[in-house]
Amino acid sequence: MPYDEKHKIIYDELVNILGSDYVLDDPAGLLAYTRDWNWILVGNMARADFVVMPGSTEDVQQIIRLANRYKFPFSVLGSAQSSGFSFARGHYWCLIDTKRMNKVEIDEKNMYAIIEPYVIFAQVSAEAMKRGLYCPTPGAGAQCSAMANHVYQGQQHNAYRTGYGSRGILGLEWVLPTGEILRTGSLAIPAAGFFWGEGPGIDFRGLLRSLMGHEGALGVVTKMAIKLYPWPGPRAFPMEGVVPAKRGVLPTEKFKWYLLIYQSIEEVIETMRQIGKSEIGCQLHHFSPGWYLWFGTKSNEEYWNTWLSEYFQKNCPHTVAVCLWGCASEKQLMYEEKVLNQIIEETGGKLAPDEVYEWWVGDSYSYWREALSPRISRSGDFYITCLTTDSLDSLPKAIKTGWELLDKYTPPALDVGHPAWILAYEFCHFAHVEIDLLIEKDITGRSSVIEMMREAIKEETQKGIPGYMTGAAPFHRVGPSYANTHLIAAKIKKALDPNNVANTTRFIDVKKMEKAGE
Amino acid sequence: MKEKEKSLPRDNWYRKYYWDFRKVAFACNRDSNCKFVDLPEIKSARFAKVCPSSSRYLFDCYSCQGRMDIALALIDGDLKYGDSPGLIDMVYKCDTCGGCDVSCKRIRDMEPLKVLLEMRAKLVEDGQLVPEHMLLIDRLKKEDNMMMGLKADRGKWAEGLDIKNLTTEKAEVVFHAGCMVCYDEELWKVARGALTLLKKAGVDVGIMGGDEACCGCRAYDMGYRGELTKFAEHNIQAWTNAGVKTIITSCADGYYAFKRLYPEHGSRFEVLHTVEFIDRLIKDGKIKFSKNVPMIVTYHDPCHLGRRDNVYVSGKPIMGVYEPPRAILKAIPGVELAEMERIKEYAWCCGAGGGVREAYPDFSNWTAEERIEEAKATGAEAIVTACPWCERNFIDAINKRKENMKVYDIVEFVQHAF
Repeated sequence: MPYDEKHKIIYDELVNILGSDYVLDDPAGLLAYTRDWNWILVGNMARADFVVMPGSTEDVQQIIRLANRYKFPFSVLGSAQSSGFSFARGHYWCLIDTKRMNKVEIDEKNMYAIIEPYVIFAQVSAEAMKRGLYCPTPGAGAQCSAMANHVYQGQQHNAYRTGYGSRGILGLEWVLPTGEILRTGSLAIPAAGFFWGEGPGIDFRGLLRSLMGHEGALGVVTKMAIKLYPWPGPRAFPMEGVVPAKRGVLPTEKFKWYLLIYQSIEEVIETMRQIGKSEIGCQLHHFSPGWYLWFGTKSNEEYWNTWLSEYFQKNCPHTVAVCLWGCASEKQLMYEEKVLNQIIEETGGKLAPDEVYEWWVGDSYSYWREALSPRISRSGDFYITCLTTDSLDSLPKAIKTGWELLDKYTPPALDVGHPAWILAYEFCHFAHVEIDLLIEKDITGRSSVIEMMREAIKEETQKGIPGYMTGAAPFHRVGPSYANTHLIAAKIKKALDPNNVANTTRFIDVKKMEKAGE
Repeated sequence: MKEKEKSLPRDNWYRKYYWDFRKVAFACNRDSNCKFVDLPEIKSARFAKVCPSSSRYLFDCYSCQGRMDIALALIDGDLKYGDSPGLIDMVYKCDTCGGCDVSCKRIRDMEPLKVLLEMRAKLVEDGQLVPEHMLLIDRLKKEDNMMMGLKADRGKWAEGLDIKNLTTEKAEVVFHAGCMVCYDEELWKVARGALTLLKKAGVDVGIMGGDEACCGCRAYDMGYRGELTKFAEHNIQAWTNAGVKTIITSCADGYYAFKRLYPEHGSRFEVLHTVEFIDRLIKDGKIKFSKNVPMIVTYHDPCHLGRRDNVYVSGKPIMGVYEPPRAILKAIPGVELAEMERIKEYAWCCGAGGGVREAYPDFSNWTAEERIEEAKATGAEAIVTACPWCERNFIDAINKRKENMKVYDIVEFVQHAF
């Protein structure tokens, strides 16, 4: 369909700002921006009218000012893996693809990295490791935008030791939906640099993150400093072999994984609590039999054959995986081992069979720079029946809810047993729990997941579980059950985005709220 | 629980991989791994990317994942050729190097490069052609080469050599020089050097001389499947007539075509690249390097000799000819091999493949320059490679930038050590 006059005017203006190489409106090209990893939820979205590629904060500012002038909606993409909430949902939609904004700078002395939106975790990790520093990576994978993850959720494998990811945000630069530039933390003070996150004045970082991030509905973050941590390991991963048969095991005198087998989720939670209380280790997970295979098997055939053999279901029903480390010295590792052995004895844990340990530990590099997680959806697609971040005491309620939903929707969901991934945060003061569901990537799978989601939101709301599903739901629908938080969100949105141009249907759909008379 | 009671995928493709164009394109989960080197192997932000196309053109329609969307839309009828002025460029600004393919085989158990190649074949079949390729293919049809040269000039590189001509004589081994070497006088030394080595080793070898024909690999990668068939049938017949048992070539494209594409056309010959042959001679003690060559060099893995020289078996390593060239370099006294950050199955392409050198010379040159930057970062004085297309692309880029970096084919390089 030929574009109309308004499209042509906006296109010319965008080209004036960026040059024709960085403005795309070709129908075939736009197709590449119509789906994300989660086809089940997102399916194929409408095509945007434009995809633009700014090279600087000033470019972003000019695009946003133009959006305000011509009243067209825009949204922003990082690595665009989880971009379903950013894709086009209206006429003249302009997607800001940040691939040209890809600089990373390491401040070795002050242990932080200054990143732009299209810097992936693996790049930060590689640059940090070369300097004896470390950047934790999320379960979603080290191919994700480091900035987007920090803004969105901040779930990271090492959060047990290094803290919830979003706490690692220092100074940042943010173009508001009006085009005004806001600098927060120490960056607000001329020449002070990026070293500090809080103040002076109000700390706005909570607005960025909220429960699930605002997905660009409150503007575009263009620069951010994130904390880095001391790294006692080698300057590069000691990889062996050829894809996909690679092994990478960090030196065991500094990093030692233990896989502890338990029979129930209650035993697991108690063990994790004891480990956290002792403040040993640097990563602490619980995983189920499927977890080993989702990431460890190298083909669908290997996956299903091993799953159907039920070896892992019988021998590793619940695994607590803890990595002890000698960050300060090898003596530290020896001390941590002594403490862990006491905990194993007290909690009745058993070590995983040697063959399981040897097989699993070959992939353990992935816990330091997540590389295997996309394998989870190799059998079609995956979704989640329950995901929350809460205290250890609250986890059984969330797990039970997730398992009940899983049972109800299997089939058509695929057989995965009763999985639960628990990722401990901050010495177990709280934790991430996730009940994953595998589903075939087809219409049957899709409609059942959508039905399951509706039920999950109802369950989470009734049971007071601060869940991912609730966070992903339209705010005006779930807000009334959470102290009318949607009304506060609407006020914030209106104040920051008076023309309602920034990802207009995400975070808070002002139009829908006004239509409903709220 | 017994298998029949379990909830298993209804579509068996999700239980055991087999090739299916639509299923592969649809199964892409847009995780962006196709743009990057195997993540744990990334050693710097600067050299983290594996896909030249998405690195140069940035928009996702120039990445493998975006091309999967385009492929799906074409096959499902959601995109018509007339809808998109940029469609041809989006499909063809790609070296078909297979960097993306490795990532997908690592984590997704599928072969997206096949989708890219099939899509090209479909475009050609439907008359959606790249003008620069049309000229080249017209010439190929008339003159049997990809260099716009005359058929009559093909054998000039071998003039004066005491070597069997297999159009009239018979030999155990045929040496295939390939289009690039035959028509690029600067590279004749590669073929002449290879023949010297073969003869020194006592091999009963000959050449087809002026009657040698293109392997068809580059036409295949551009989507011209018919040309591949034609040249495969011609070459197989010519070698059969000459009583040949083994084909040796210094060209990675030729090697790939003979080893991986020709068997579908009935070829049963043994196929060796010169690096495999030299490595074999070293291991058998038939070659000894006597001279010291005090140089720091780096090795560039040609895509068709590396990751593309792989028949995909789910879950099995993406093997290619990675070790023989390295073993040769390590066997030369004085040589220090300094590896680049992106090597073997996750190597960066030279930029000459997939019809890019011919249709998009700027992109081709940019890709080569990226590799030269990476080579320079190792401290090496020279790039050694094992494909004349890579060598030519690097030489051109180096000359353009007026760099001091030297470029050698490995056959040429080992001559320093005798």
